[in-house]
Amino acid sequence: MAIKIRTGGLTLKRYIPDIYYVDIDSPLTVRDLLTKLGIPEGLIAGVIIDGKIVDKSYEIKDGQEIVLMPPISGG
Amino acid sequence: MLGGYMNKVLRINLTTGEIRTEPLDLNMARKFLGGRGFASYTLYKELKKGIDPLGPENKLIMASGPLAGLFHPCSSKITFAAKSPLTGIYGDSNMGGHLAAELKYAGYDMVIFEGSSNKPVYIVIDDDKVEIRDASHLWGKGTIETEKQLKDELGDDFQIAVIGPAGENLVKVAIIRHDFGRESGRTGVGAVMGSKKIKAIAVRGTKSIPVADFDEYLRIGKEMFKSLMSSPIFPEFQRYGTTMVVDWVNEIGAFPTRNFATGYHENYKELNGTAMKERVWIHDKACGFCPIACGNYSRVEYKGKTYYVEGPEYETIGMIGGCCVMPSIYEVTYGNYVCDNLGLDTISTGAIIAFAYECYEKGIITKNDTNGLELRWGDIESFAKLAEMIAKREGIGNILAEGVKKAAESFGKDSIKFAMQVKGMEISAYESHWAPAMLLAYATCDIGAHHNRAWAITYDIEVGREKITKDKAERVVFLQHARPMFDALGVCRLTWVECGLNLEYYAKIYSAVTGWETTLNDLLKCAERAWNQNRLFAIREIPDFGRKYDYPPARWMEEPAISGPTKGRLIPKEDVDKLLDFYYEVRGWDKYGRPTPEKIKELELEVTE
Repeated sequence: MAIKIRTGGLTLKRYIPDIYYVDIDSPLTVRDLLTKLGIPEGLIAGVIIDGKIVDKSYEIKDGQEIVLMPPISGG
Repeated sequence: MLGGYMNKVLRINLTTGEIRTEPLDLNMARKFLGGRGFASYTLYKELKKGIDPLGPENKLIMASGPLAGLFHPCSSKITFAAKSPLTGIYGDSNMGGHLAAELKYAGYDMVIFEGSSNKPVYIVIDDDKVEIRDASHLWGKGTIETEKQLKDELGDDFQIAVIGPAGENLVKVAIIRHDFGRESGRTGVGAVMGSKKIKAIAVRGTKSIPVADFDEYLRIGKEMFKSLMSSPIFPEFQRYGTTMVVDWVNEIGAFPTRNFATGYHENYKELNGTAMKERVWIHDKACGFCPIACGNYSRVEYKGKTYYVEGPEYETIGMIGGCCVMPSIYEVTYGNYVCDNLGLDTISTGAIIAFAYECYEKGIITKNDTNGLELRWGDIESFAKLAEMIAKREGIGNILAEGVKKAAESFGKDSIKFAMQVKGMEISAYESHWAPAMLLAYATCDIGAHHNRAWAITYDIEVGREKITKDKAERVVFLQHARPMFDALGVCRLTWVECGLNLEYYAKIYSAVTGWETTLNDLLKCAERAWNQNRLFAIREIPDFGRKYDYPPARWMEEPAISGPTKGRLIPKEDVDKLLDFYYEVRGWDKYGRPTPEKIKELELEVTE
């Protein structure tokens, strides 16, 4: 199952390139994916799939593009 | 040729009516860059020790930066600064919009407002023509009506900054507002403007900003745009702006809920970016030269009437929605409108009203104190009424208008322990019961508790929230130089950490614009100089200023968080002292938190009485 990940900002640079493709064997949640990639869950401010914010418990489907948003300082 | 700077300072004396210009002090430009750097230097140099912040001897500074108004990304920031009536030390607050650019086009790097008028006035700066005009027809009006009326009177091409009733009534958390939604919200700069009886400042300009090496500037500027806009998350950042983080801060237990008693709001999904986007959002809004457009323009219905407001952005959601425990984005949006139109800082006002709710809940204040108004968490009606009473200094609003610290001193009964402030300024929207670096950032911020100077909470999460280590102090100090550097240059900082634009770009573009070959370390040194200058300002004002002014409120050190991911956590005073020890060491300050003679010499600062 192939997944494309898009991310950016300085906070996540040490964990993952801005564009990253990953193959996974079985269905897994966004939370599982972060664990697999070694990204601290607390550094992901938002997960967006198909233009919608989803929970980290969301189960990823084949071919989906996942946007991992870094924390943004507000206002 | 020196570029970037307009080489002119405008000085307007409201007492005498004298208006004059003077050349920009290039030594100051070299050492302090611009914006808040100019303000730090000028206020320390020109203000006498011990003056009344709301008296004619205080000066209100409006300063752009050398990179403001040019067409690289996000060059739209302007700083308002004065001795703060809220904290009694140096205070400033910056805003985006279009005012910074217009001031440069009018030919000025900085405007210094001195003295005070005996009647309401507004200032018109139209290139070289500067006038003080009667504003009696505007006095008493809300910020929205004031700005609109002046746009109608003067023309749409004027950029206008205004105050609302809160500024007129010298409320110490009053803002200066521009472009129907950009605010210099912190430290009470709006009250200083009100004390001078300046209702509005209107600026229009037609001049060009000189650039030393235009080809190089264009090359770097294009690269910056390309780098910024090719970030893979750029479209999502555009879509949600800062509201994106509401979910995240709740997941990590940092959403300032119930007056910072907890970092978790049970109904946070009613307040998050999706709620904002689907229920109140109308369209995006951008400052000048910004391709991101992180601002949101919104509409909300309340009691059969429709209200429009820019926002709510994250801080407002945190401080009205979280701190006052509002049930949904609708109440937050209406509360945002109320505060903005009255000319109140949503951060401080959220903190003040949450403090009042808690005092009421605990019986420290009663209906006898509130003119019969019942105060309940999550009740937007009492929030709006109290905000109005604060702005008009009516009843208990007159006490709350002084800020939470003074209000706690007035109410007594140990309420100071949950008055969420540092140095007299209300803490912004990051609950730090279990975030030592963020707590240190708030504790040591030069203007009182504000996230803008060092947003260190991600560092806590990266290296471990339990750690009380020197690297956290190093991180805070670095951020306290890097982030204010943006304010001094006159550019927005969201391009950096959030969108990944390399900091080195700013040294390159500053060099190309000014013609002064400058490294990133040079720029950071200027920011460090301003930081120390502000500390010296505080020490000059308050003889025993030092460590004891750098402690967070007792709630974070003594009362564990009551719920959510950080339930049971706190950072005891001995750990705060360890963090301060590390911090002072990294800064080159003594153990009382005062810059050492060596540090002062290294930064080429002058100490005066």
